[in-house]
Amino acid sequence: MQGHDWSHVDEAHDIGKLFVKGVKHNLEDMLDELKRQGVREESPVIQSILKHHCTEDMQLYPDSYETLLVHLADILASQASRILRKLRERLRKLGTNHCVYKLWKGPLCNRDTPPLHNRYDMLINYLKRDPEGKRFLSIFRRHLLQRAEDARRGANITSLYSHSILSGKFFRLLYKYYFNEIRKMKIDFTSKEDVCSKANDILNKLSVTVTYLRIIPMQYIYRVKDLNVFEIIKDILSTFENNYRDHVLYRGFDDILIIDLPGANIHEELIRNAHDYGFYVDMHALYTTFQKDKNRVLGIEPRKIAKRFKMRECRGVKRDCFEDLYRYPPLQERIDPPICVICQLRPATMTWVDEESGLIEHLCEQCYRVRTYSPRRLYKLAEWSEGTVAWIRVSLDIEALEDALVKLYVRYLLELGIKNADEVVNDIEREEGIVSPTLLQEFLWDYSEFVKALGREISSLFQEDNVEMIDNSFYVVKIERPSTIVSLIESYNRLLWKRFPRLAALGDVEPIRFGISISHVKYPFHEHWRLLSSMRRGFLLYAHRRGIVEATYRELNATLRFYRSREVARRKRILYRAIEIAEYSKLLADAELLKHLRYVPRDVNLQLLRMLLEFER
Amino acid sequence: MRPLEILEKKYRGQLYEYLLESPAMILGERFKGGVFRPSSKVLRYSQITGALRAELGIQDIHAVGVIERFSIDFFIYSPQDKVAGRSKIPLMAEVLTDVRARVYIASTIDLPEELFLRIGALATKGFGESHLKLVRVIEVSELKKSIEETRRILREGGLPELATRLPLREEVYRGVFGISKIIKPIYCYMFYPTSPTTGYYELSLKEGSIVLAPSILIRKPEEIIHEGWEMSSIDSLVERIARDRRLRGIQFTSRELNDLAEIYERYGFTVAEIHLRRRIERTRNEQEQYKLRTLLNILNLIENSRIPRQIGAYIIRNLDIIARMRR
Repeated sequence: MQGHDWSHVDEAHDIGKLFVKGVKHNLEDMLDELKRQGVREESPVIQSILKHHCTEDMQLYPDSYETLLVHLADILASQASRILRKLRERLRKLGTNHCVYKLWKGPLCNRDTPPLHNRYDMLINYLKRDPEGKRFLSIFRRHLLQRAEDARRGANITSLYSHSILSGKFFRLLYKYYFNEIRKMKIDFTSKEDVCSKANDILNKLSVTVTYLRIIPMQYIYRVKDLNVFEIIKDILSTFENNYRDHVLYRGFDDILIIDLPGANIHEELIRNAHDYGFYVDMHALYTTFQKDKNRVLGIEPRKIAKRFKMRECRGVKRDCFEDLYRYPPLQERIDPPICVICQLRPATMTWVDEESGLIEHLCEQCYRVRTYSPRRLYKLAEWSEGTVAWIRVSLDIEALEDALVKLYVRYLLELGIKNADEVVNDIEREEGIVSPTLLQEFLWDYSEFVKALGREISSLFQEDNVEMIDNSFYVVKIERPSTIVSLIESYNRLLWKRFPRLAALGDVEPIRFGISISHVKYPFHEHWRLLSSMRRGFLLYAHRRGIVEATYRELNATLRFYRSREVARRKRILYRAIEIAEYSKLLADAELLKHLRYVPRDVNLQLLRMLLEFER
Repeated sequence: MRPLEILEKKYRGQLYEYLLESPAMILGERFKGGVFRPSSKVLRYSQITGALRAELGIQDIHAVGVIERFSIDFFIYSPQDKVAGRSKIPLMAEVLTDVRARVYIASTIDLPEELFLRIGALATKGFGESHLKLVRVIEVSELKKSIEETRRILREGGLPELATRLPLREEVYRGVFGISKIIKPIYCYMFYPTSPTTGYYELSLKEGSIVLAPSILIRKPEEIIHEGWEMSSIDSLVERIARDRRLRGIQFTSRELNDLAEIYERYGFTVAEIHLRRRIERTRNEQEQYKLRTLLNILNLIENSRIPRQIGAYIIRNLDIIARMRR
């Protein structure tokens, strides 16, 4: 083992699943042939492939500390084994599909063999050339994305790609933080029984912290320069992700989910960086071990995991407990004037003189740092002095996502004909939880593509000069024709139903949130941000002085369809009367719409309908 | 310090609850630079306590307000440069209109049934005139009970949010208003005047903080659904009518609704009431009587809400549709 680089080995441990149909994907049956072809048995990749399992079906087992770590990482990253614990027998009858079934979309394809079935020439060629697994992900990416981690119908909900990436991360974390500790344990590597029983003990003992952090700016933004806060947040999070890639399970616009290990306390670094700019941090942290009574702990939202394992609030020693708090930079009990005009939370010690107006503003050090942060300026926005703008944001609530994925899994099982799917899933939820970080990862790739596609739609709907991108999930656009807003909403709805049809049809949980907030360009940004940062439903539309409406995915879809129906088209003129009535009462305007429409389909949101009419009038 | 200890010892264990109504007020935030001045949607401690101190001439008084309902309008004004005598760039201020709020006051002296205060900005332009009417006096025992109610919400996984802004002075937030535990604070600063021209900013608890407190200080999600969501008095009246169970199952003819609406619009409430009472007397059919009495109730609701007569008539005309809205 000495002298080999093991850092990328783990990703390739399941390579056999791309070539072999059946359970013996550890290639032990092919070992002699592989050796004949010149593959070296002692190479780390071959070791991790052959010896990453502790099952009765396979003879080989982890017989070194390194392969034991591969086995542990495999356990932690496996989505399928959570399901198979309860459903193994029932799924046996349903047959296999080697393609991934995306819970939010449906099956990618249907195959009863792995994507590279029997292409052993490719396998041997690879194993000979890449003994340390460094090129595995790039070479097999396309096939890994398609191949389910487990081919059994009902368990095929994540790809081998997400499993490989996550197990690679876990391997490196265990290697970095726990290798020495594990080496001190007495393990008899000549006994399969001893090794395999110790594996569970080890995961029950190793501490881990699952931390969700959201950076919240304290600044009341009213100048374009102060929008730097988002640039800073993005930089803080991306720098953190680059430095601690293996720790990061999820990174959003202003939030991040990480695995932290005792002694490392990497989250403190992120909090310190946020405090440097006067931001505070919403922190949910779970202090626990990788496994509790043979149940894997890692899930998505720390608050939910804490509830599952009935963990108390932390007091004193942080072990098996949960923390939910805001981490503030130091604040004084009293401030003698002047107070910082931007954050209104610290004494103003700096002065800022506006180049154009000569206006003097008193700022604290942190807000001054924000103003002078980046050479990148939002030039277009700064020049828009008249007219209407729309702030557009799409965001993801990972707590709601976890709920949605559980519901979608129940639906999948029901479709497969599993009786009492609800009860079975509840059972799994009580023990380990359905949603592992792997399933989250799988969703995030599709979500990221969705956000990019939405960005492209925005660019095509509005002229280049009228679009300012704060982030790829956050835009401000200048509106020349209000009807473009209707087109934008329709584009979003179309994309949502195309890329997440099953999620959109769920009805009661909406993890993807899309908000549009419209006003005169001079309307203060923090009023928009207050709405767009706390969206609770799938869709939010606010038009200054015109009202606000929230809608579910179904309501949005039904309303848009109805809006384009002949029933509405024929009566548009009469319906416009509702817009005038809305000046006095939004509800009376809805009543006016009802009065003139003979038939209003289920799920149509009248307020939204009224606002759509108003945009197109 | 025990929760409500100061209230018990110093303020006779009582909080006065007033209903505040104001046609228009601007609760300024300290925003600079922008031409648009939004109004805060929170009646904070410093504002209401300051107004009471000025009105009653006593210093030993603590008060907070919780806004229940408001509508939004805008006021454009242009401050003048006093030296040059010229107007500066016009500013647009957000105005909360038709405001209804609850105000809770701890006082060492007996307070009157009614109070008239000026709260918030641009008082010289007539904004902020508020009428406060005493609703009841809340005893400490009731407040303690309601803390338990909030504790139950917390136990069940709810997150009780503070509905107002209070200074982070233990004797005030804990001793007077009974916030027993600050679970997840959101901090801000409020100005504390030490003289008419001096003062400092003191650390305070902002609305939205998660706290264990008497239920009067906790946000009720059904009242203000979303920050930035305003509900006019017409909206709240229509909502009330739409949710009225008595209207379910009643069929109104468009003729009877149109007649009543026309009488109300032309001649006012009294004539419309007489019209309905006469019809009640004349009819022997119980179902018809029930229907007319329900109409009379709705008419009373409309009249009491003091909305323009034309709008009231419009509501009557569309009563059957309004009743259908929440079904």
